[in-house]
Amino acid sequence: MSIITRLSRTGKHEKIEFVLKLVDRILAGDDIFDDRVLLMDTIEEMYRILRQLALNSKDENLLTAFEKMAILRYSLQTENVFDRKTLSDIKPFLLNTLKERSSTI
Amino acid sequence: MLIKEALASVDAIQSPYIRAVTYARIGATLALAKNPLYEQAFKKAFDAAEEIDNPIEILKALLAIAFYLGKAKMKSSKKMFRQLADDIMILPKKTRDKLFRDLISYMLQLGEIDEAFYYSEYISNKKLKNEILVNILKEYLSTLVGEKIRIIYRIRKIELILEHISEEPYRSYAIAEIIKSYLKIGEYDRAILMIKELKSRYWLKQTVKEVLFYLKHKDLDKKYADRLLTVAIEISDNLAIDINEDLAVIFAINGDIAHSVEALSHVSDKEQKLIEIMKVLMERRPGTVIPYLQTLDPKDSEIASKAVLNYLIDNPSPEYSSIARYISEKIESEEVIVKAVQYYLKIGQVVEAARMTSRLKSRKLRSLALGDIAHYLLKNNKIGDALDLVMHVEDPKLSSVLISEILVKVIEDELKKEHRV
Repeated sequence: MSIITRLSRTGKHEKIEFVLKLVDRILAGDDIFDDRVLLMDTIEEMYRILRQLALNSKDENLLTAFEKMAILRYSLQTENVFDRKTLSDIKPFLLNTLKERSSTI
Repeated sequence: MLIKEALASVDAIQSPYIRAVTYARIGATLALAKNPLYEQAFKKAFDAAEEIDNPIEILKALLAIAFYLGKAKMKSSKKMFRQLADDIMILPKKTRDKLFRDLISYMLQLGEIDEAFYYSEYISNKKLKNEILVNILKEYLSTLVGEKIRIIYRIRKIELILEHISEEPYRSYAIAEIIKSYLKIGEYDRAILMIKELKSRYWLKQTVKEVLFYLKHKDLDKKYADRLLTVAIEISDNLAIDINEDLAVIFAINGDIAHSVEALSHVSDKEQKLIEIMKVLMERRPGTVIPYLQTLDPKDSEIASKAVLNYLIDNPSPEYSSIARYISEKIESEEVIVKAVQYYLKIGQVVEAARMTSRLKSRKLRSLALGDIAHYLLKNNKIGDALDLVMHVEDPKLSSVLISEILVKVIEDELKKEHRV
């Protein structure tokens, strides 16, 4: 495997791990995320990262995670409803993606 | 009476491991209730552990017993843990790691954070070790909130634990957690300095954002913005991660325009970033767009204005006509005016669009703008008006094209009418 693809893979890895940790932090119920703008911004950030990763991917887990994040983002932006359940549902899909990735590297 | 019976019934459990743990649990509960039967329960727990034939399982059971002794506030608990740790140390790596993980988890539950940290050194699997250290750190951080005394000592301890967390993403995550806790206890300078420890662009961006939002709630964001910016510039220089552009966006979203512009001045492809920022602001904070434009110098303001108008043309909404009006009145550039004309046509304000064109001095651009209006009128079947307008188009090429189109349109309309008859 060329060094370039391996590097880009680790880039992906880093991004997914980052999103996972962010999900954890939001789910931990910390009051820092009581700020609606910060919450929205953080969701937006995760949405963008996943979108970028999902666009060129055939990874079912990643696509599902992105889909759920998109739904979450939509309901937050349009109805101002934050659905914790959807956010926690995203976790296993991201974990699976990481697992499959590390097994192929 | 019932207690005695229940205690006797534990013997019905076949697995000696579960039996041992059950006796120990009961022992802890009884001890806390000051029931003297606890001694008997713990003794039975040890007896059950002796019956286990798998040596690893024996250690596991003994760890559980030590934990429940700790729960029961028995001094022997610590001694037992130490003894067990010595035994575990001689085991092969994999087993050793697993047992130390259990031991540390018990330690943390008992609030023995220092001991937990001490034993974490013995874990050989790097990932596992980092994961456990993060847990230890979080436990430590949770004791920090609300605690005012010996804060310096505690902070040193936290930084010591962090030194041992070497793997990503654990390290970045740990730093982000530390920063959050520092903010909560009012150690704002320390929190900002801690940002420097981050090496990942994503985490940098996220933490800076969190710090800024937190300070904003405390009405301190203006006071610390300079320091935050200094740190960010330093990081960008040292790590070749340019977070100034992100910072410019973050400040802008936060409504701190002066610092956003300041951050922007450190960005290499400033023009591109400015365009991005305007787009983000239009999407998320349209209210800050005009003040932002006012802060920029004339050249940048023109670039930004074009970006805003491009956004408005792509997303026509009458809601933002005040922004378009501001831009078309303030910016001298004729190109900007042409864009404004396009926007007004998109939202159907022909009069405003026509008024704009009168300010265009360049013949070519005026013709272009008038052409756009004529097109709009044609599309809306105002052929007479369109024709009047075309008379004002000075560019012969364009006027010819327009007249040609008008005539075709007239004929098409006539044919449609005949068809209906």
